[in-house]
Amino acid sequence: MKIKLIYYAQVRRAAAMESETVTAADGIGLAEAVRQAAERHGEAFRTLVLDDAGSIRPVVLVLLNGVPATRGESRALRDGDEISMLSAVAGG
Amino acid sequence: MIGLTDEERAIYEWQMWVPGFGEAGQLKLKGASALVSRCGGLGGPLAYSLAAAGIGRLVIAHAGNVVPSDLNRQILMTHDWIGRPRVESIARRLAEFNPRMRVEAVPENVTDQNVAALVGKADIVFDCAPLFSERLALNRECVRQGKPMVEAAMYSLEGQVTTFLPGKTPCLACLYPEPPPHWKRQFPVIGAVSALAGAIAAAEGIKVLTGLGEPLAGILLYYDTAHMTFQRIPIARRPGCPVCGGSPEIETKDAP
Repeated sequence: MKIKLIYYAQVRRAAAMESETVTAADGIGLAEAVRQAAERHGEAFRTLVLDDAGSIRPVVLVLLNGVPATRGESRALRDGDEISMLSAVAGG
Repeated sequence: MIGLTDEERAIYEWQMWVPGFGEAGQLKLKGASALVSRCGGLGGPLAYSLAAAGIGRLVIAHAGNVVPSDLNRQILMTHDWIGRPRVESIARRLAEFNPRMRVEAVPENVTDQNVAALVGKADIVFDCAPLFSERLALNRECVRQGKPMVEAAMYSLEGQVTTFLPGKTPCLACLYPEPPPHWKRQFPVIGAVSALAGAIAAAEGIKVLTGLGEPLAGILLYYDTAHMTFQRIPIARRPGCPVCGGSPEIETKDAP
C-alpha cells in the first residue's frame, strides 16, 4: 500500500523534503511508519522526532489524515493514508 | 463606561461599520488591556494592529537592546535605536501611531518571577516569545488567573496560531507538554511570515475582547506560505495535563 508523509517546520528541514509517498507493508501502524521514516532520513530527523526509547516525542504533533493521532494510535494504516508531522516551534 | 471622543469616532468610523462590531465593540476595545510577551517580528505587528484597532492599554514585555538582525522583521524597532532598549523603540513607535493608547513598557522578558504580575496587568495575553520556557510560564499563569491567551509562533515560511480559553480549550501544555529539546533561540524568519501570524493573532484577540466571530478555540491554524496553504487542526485537552488538569470543570473567567 502507499502512504504519504508530509513534513513541516524543523521536520521538513531535517528530512530535506516537504513530503514523500512510500510503499509500506500492509498492517503497519502509524508509529512504525514514523520509525521507518526516521530510518530513511538519518540522525537529525530521528533525534528530532523520536526519543531515546524510539517513541514519538510528545512535542511532535502527528496528524493522521489531518487529525491529531492519539498517543498509542493502534489502527493499521490504510492505502492512501496521509501522515503529517509538525515540530513544536516558537519563532516570533 | 467610557464613551468615545469625537476624535475616536472619526478614527474608528470604518471599523465600526464591521457588522457585529459597531460602537459597542469599539468601547470594549477602549476599555481593554493586553499583554504582549515579546514584541519582535510577530509581537510587533500584533501590537501595531491592536494599537490601530484602538485598544485602551498595552503592556509590552521585551528585554534587550535593538540589534541589526532585529530589523528584517521587527517593525517597531528603528535604525536610530540600535544599541538602545527595544521597549523604548516599541513604546515610541506605538505612541506615534496611537497617542491615545496607554503603553506600559517593561524591559524584561517573561520569567517565573515576573509572570504573575505581568499577566495580572491585562485582560488578554499574547504569547509571542521565541523560547518555550517563557511560553510555558505564561501558559501556566494564564490558566491560573483564568486569562485568555492567544498563542502565535512561526518558523521559516510556516506559522501557527490558536487561542487558549482556560477551562474551555486545551492549554499550551496540552499541546506541547515539555520544551522541545531541539528548539534554538535563533530561527529562520522572513518578516512577512511572522507578521502574518501577528495579524491573525491580533484578529483573534479583538474577537475575544469584543465577542466578534468565533475564536480559534480548540483549533490550531497552521499555515505554510511556501504553498499558501492553511489548515485548521483540531486540538484536544490532554488528559491529566499538569497545568490545566485536562478536564472541563475548571472555573473560567470570561474576557470583558
